[in-house]
Amino acid sequence: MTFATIVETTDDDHVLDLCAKHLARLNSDLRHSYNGHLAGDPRGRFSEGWRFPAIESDRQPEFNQVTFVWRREMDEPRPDAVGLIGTFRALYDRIPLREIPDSLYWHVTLRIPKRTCHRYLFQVGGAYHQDRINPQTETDGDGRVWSRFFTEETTTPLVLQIHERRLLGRFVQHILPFRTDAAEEFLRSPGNPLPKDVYELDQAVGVVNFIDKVLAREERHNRIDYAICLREIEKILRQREPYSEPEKVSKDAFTRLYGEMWGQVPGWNASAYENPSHFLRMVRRHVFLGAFSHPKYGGNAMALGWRFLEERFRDQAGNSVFDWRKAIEKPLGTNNEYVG
Amino acid sequence: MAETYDIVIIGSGAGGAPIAAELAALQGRALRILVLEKGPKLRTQEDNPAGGFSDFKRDELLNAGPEKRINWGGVGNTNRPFYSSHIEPDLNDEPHLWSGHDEQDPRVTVEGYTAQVVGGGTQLYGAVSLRFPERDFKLASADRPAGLPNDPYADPDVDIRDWPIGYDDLLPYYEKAETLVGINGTVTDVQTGAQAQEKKFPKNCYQTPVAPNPISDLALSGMKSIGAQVYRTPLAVITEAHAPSGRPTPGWVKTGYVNRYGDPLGYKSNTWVSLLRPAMRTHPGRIDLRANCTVTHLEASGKRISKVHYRDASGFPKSVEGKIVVVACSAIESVRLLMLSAEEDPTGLGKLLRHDEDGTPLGRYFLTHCFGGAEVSIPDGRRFDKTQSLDSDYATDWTSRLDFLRDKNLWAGAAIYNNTSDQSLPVTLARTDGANDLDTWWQGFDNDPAKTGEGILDWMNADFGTRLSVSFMANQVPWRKNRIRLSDVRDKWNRKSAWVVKDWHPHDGHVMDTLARVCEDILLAGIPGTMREGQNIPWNRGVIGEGSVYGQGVRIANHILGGARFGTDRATSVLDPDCRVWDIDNLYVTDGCFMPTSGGGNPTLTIQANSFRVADILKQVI
Repeated sequence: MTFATIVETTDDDHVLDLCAKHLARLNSDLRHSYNGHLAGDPRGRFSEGWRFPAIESDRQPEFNQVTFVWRREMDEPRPDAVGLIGTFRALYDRIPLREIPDSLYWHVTLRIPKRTCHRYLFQVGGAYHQDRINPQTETDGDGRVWSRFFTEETTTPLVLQIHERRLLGRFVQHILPFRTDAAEEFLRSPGNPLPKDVYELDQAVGVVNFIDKVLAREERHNRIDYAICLREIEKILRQREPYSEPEKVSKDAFTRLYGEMWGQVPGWNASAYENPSHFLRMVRRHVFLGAFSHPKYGGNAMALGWRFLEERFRDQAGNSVFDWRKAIEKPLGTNNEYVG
Repeated sequence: MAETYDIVIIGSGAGGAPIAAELAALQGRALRILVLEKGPKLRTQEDNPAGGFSDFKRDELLNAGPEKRINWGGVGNTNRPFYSSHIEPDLNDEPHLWSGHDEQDPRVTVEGYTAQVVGGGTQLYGAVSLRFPERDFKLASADRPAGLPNDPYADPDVDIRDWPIGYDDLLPYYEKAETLVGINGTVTDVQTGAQAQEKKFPKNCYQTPVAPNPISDLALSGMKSIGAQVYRTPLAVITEAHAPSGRPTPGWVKTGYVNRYGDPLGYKSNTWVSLLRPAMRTHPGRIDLRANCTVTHLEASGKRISKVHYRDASGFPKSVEGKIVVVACSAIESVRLLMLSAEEDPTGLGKLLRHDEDGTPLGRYFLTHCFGGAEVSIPDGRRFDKTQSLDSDYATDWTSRLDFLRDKNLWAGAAIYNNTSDQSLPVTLARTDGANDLDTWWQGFDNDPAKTGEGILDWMNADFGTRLSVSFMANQVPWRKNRIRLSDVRDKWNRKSAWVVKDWHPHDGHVMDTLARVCEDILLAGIPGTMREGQNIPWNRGVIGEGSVYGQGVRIANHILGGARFGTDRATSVLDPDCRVWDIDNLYVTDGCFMPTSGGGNPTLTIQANSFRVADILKQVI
């Protein structure tokens, strides 16, 4: 395991530029507790608390810079010191945070490998605290609740259970254009440097992983929709094909259910979730984002979604009309100026 | 004792930065200038030499992030989703409300907000940098057709005011702005070489534009077919080394990450890279730029602003004094700040501003633009890589000409230009599909069963890299009923939020219908095989769609202007011709709220030019 190292260069003004828009306020309303998902939790006060700790680029492309922020309350005594422990270092290794003078903020920036997920706690006044800003938590085997974060390109499942991921994987196939003749042609095209185990593009592109990550962080409030609706979908598929596992039922069963979800779904428990089309619309948005947004978000793995568009759409001279590489940073793209 | 500055400027965008830069360069005096900016200072790659990383990214998800929801009870769109960029305010922290004149069922909206970041709206804007035509400064006294359509009460005769300055007054400042900001474009017709812009242009201050995008030729052909003179659209993106700002020769400037994106490389001429950063380098110590500071209210003593109160990055209350105070927070927020200040200081500023009286002009005549156009999916199979685009290539002032206005019974004209980068990136394509406004993103894609599996390929076959649009930006009829007021909904600082009360004047509908038809005519003439709506063609390929913010029911549109207009009559204006608040000796307002009419073109360059003009005035009084 690669231990995190402290980055000394982060300046106080940059930390304030990361913080103030989201954290500075007088109002104590839970304005960011959508549907009450952070009811009673002071983390519901902050705008986009999911941005913390802040994950940024590093000169070493295999790493992220992760900035941890501790914000004391305005009427709270100033602590003598604030420390940080986490699974990115030995747990006894307390990392001190630096106070920004005349502010409420303490911070430290660490260099942490990409594709990793960690637990952490702050140590303030001798006691250990979860992050007051970041709503992500994780419970360890002893029942202790930690704060959690993950770096770019992480593939570790965080939110969706394995049966949910499998079911969602099948569902996704009905939205994406990756079970088409065009996608097959893309996969077979000579010189296409895809992994040898890729036989279905929609799996390789990592959309389910993207959804898992967006539900873990940015759209945590939508996790409940997935839990309820995937349960309903599973129930209905079991009723319709009782001798198959839900994720293995026939394509016709999925196609039928997908079509029904635009309107009425026989057997759907409306008291649990009134409108299946609302869920369908959300999944459609998440699927498209996962397939075609920047690979650092966990989908569009190896830029497969972009590469599919690059090959698929061409001008009259045969040149691609989606030369994404020209705009994007190396090594993903080819731009010599933009570093990502 | 509060810190004292020669000048305190609230806002670092188009209204504030030119004044800071000019006064920092004042010969013979080292003025102390404070710029207070609500948003953060996000770095370009050059600003962060240690890592070389910018805080702006070529990242569609960062630009129009995850779903958030309106969490305000009692508004018309409670619990509805919204999507905003990383430098726009969170509406649950700082909502704007919008309603029609009946003030019923207000809705929270992202419309009407500009970016909150050092550089303000110039960080996200599309960079179209047009001068207003000369006629647009004198629309009250200008010759216009009698009996305008859809204008039963002759409102333009009642509510329109000439600007207290004319084009000639602003001319040197347009030239200064174009020179110092860094703009590429042309004055002359792209084919004949004759002057094409409908205003005097004694000096060409533009950089040379890069080669137009191939499909723009179709728009050019269409514009020419209606008899228009056509010039290269002025865009605030440098194409050559820019000595005034110290920016070197840019590399590859054509990228789809321009309009609505902050530029990591600093080629897009926002006010940070073009004005503030060079001034701070050339005159170190003169400008104190404080980001993440929210001004809460102004306090008056006698006829002067005596204190500027703000919250710092932690939220601690602070105050400063300035011999001169300039408010430039963008139109809605500036008017709101004046109103909040009057309430906070009722016996001081409150007596001078009279914001709660029926007769006060403060907040009245709020303006946007009549905006719309036409768009088509090019039917002959031609595609263009819109990720390699600088958006607008060709523009014409043809619809600002008096003979056109007379022919079409319009009170004022418009600029028309083409766009090639619409939906240039895949997420943007899906997000904006069928969207009426910024609040309805994802509606078209999410709600269309046909866009599934093969259907997604069919849709992309029709739309990806094939769509070409022509847009107009026209004057809106100033209407006293269109106003900014305070609401009881509180922001995160427990301050009353702005409530925009706005409808379209009926004549605006005629303006937009007429100009949208012109845009349709341009595409119809320029692109072989296209046809008007009503044809049953798969995915509507080749069928021209046209519309406007009026026809589509969009609430505000992006350009926010008026609300504190300047003039020579203190009874009907808030600011005097110098943009000084009437009866307050040291308070100036310089964002778009000073405009009595909205102009037939995008407003940023005019806001910048006027700020350079006010800077010259301030040099005389400070």
